[in-house]
Amino acid sequence: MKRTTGIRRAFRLPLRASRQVRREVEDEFRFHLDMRAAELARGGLSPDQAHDEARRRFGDLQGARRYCYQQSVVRERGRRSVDWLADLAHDLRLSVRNLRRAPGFAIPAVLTLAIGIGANTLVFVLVNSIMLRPFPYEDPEHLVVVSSTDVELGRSGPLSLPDFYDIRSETETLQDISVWDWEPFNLRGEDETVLVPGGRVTYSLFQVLGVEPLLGRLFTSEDDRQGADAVVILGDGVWRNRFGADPEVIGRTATLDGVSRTVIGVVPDAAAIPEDARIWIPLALGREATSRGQHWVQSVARLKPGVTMTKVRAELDLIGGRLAAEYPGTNVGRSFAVESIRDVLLGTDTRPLMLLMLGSVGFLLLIVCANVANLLLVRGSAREREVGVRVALGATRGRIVRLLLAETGILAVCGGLLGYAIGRLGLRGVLTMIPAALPPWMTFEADRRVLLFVAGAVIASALLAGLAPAFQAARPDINRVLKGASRGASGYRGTGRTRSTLVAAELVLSMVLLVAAGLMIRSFLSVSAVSPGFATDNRMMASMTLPRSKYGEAAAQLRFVDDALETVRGVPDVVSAGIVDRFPMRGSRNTVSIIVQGQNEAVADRGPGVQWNVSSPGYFSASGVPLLRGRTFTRGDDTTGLAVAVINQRMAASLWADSDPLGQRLKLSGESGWTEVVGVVADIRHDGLASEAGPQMYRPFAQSATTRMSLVVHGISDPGLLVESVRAAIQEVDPDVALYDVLRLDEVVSEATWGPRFLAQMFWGFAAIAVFLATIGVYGVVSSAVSQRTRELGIRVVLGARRRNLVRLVVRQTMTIVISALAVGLAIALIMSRLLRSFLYGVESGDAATFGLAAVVLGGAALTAAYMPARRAAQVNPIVALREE
Amino acid sequence: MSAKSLELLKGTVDVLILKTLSWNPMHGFSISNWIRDTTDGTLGLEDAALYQALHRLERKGWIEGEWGLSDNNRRAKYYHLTGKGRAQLKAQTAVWDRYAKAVFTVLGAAQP
Repeated sequence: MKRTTGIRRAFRLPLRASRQVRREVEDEFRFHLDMRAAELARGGLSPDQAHDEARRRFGDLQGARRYCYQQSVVRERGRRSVDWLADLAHDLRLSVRNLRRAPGFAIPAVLTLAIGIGANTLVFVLVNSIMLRPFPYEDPEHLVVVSSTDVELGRSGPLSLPDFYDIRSETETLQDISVWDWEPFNLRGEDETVLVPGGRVTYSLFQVLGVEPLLGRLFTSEDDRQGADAVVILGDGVWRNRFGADPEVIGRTATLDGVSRTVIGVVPDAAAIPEDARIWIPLALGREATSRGQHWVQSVARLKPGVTMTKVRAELDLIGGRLAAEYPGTNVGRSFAVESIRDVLLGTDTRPLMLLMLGSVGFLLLIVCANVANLLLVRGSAREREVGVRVALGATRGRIVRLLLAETGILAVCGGLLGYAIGRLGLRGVLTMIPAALPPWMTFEADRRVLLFVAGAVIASALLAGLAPAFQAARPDINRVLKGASRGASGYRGTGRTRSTLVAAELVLSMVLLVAAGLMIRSFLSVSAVSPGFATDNRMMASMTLPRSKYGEAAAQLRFVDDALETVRGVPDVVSAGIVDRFPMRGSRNTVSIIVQGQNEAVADRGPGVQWNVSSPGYFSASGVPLLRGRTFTRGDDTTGLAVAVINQRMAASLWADSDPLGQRLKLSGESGWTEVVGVVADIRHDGLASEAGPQMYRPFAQSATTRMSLVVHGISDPGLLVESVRAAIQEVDPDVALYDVLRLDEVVSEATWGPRFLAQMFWGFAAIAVFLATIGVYGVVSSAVSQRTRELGIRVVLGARRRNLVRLVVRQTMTIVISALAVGLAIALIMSRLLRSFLYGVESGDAATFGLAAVVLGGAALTAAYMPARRAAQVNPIVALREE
Repeated sequence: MSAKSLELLKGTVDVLILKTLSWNPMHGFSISNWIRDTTDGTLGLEDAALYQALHRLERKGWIEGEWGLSDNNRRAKYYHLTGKGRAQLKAQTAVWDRYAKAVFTVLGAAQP
């Protein structure tokens, strides 16, 4: 008898259905009977007699069979759970050993999987943090933002205070509505004054949001009156950093902009509205602009339970209509718009964008799985012999599939771990590409959902990549294997077509991604090519907000501006400097309604809405905005002189298309005196490079002073060197005024184009990886196909074929597949690129040049990948080739 | 099996099998022949009973079955002792020892 050893021992009795158990018992008995019969036959009996005798000697065959079968079933049942685990452990151990012996296969497989899973991790963490996490407010589905829309221009923006009051008193669909304005405050501490971004809010803001104070209380209507005691609510960051997390902070004083305020509460920063505010004071109306035509406050409102958006819209249309009738000067042609807070905070584009990115990265994972499947198919062929022996020893196909899947599973898990690390690193890099301040509650750590997703991706990859190759490999041609046929050329039989199909699929998917990347890149280039309207060379900006306590009066504000400009202009290397109230492309604008003399003076007509700015003399030259007609402001344009305005090209063209705008008159609704147009400047793209400039008008600072402003400085050379001098200059004028938002103008533009740039970079990243993987796939398939044909190629050479023609033969055959794959890919890309429409600028979704370029790039890569192994094969020595197999 | 063979007590079969397998794994046919040869046919162990015992012992986990190739390249089920089985063998051998000694003591005693 033989001792079972080695590989045979490796297969203990596996799990089988009872049919299998029965068969085993049968086999065991049959063996015994045959052996006994042979023994008896050697003793002289005839074969038939021997068999009968053997049977007789056995005893109660039926009874024994039944009994043994029962015992085996019980045994199997008892073993079931233990065996399953033992089998798994055994499979895993075996797989790990096999993989360690084949690093040439395992390492590329793990790396490929890591790339796919890493990319998916990165995108999913983004999706999770941005879309799937709940907001830090109570019942955010019922929170909305009401804004005021200029119907003709199609723009929505802040509300005016009188409109807000009317909405608040008349609404029946909104439980409550509250408004806010962003403002930076100078907070005086023990040793230093810091600038803290904050909000001026109506008293019910936190109640509307459903935010509970961490300490103390929230504002009440008592606090929000003129003349009420000055109070302040701290964010928990300020409480910790500036007040030492004092538990007795309630009742302490905080000095904001020179005004002493009592701390009445502390709220969590995570729920901040506006998003970067860290300290809040009541709006406490008073000297603020309360004109109905001045839109400057943002709103947050809560719907009453059971109220739908449609109902709210209908009600607001009614209110809007009534207001237009009652105040035609300011409200005709305006309506109210309502959006959910989700759309406002995230943007309506965000959701489709996130889905697009998930889709792209899903494609990438499919390509990754195809590549790994190819690797597995090759490996499966190489292991035919081993699998064949196992099958001969009684391993079922299912068992072998399980073993091979275990191997793929280990690869997937290793790829998953590595990929997760890569994804997290990549995320850090991606986040630096987003200059926009993120809301405080948007963190990007890996929570349970992310981990579940990664686990799911690992399992999906293992199955996608591993199932088909496992089934393929589990059915070897046993006769051929056991007869010891050489691996050589026959090794990859049967897998050739599958592998080609997989690679073709990879090419299709890569094509789609490449087209998408091309379109995004072109969009970005188109946007970047747009001129912002101002110059960006050697110029910088810095924003300031004057403390209200010191600069409550216009005269004081003007005095500051004059001193500041004079000092800054005195700084060496400064060519010019100017001041404007809100610099373009920083996300804020003011809109007013105007009345044009000679066009709509009748009260019934509502004036057009224009963007409103206030600027000092020197602003246009400092920012490089060309003057087209007339003049810009001078020192003479002050409160004693005529009210003047400078308008932009677009406003001149729309209001005075046929006449000379210079000398024309207009006024703001609510003003008594007329303003004369004295100059026309070029358009500035205030809302971003992709938005065309609307009508814009400028008033001289001296005639319409304000506390919030931005300084623009034009230097001789790199403005970065100027920053400190400018800062020092402002300090000299008033040390209590801090600078923030200090940027070079070219940085302002590049920050404003971060969206298209981000998209271009992300899609380009995906496409590059996809093309790389597909190219490797092509190379692998051609390599193995060519090695199968070594003999044939050798014969051709012997028969006189030129090596160059051999190469062409192989390459041509490959390129047929490649070209059909590219064609299919182009067709699919054409359909899917429509999804990108809303993100494109300056290029059509079916742009022929982009598609063509993508086809050329991918085709070229595939051609190179096919050429290299073909060339190598054509160098084959025919004698060596003919000796193969 | 010859008429002279003794009926085996239940439980005896088990310890015989365990002992037979204590050196090398064997399949059922070998076990049957080995016991027959070693006891010169004294112990009547019917093959049916042997196989039932083998399967019972396998269920109990005292022996384990493994399919392998026999000398003449046929598929056969080889049994070997498990750790539990070895412990059982030791224990049952001790019991038999004491039992046999006790019986012999009585049978060999002189008339009191």
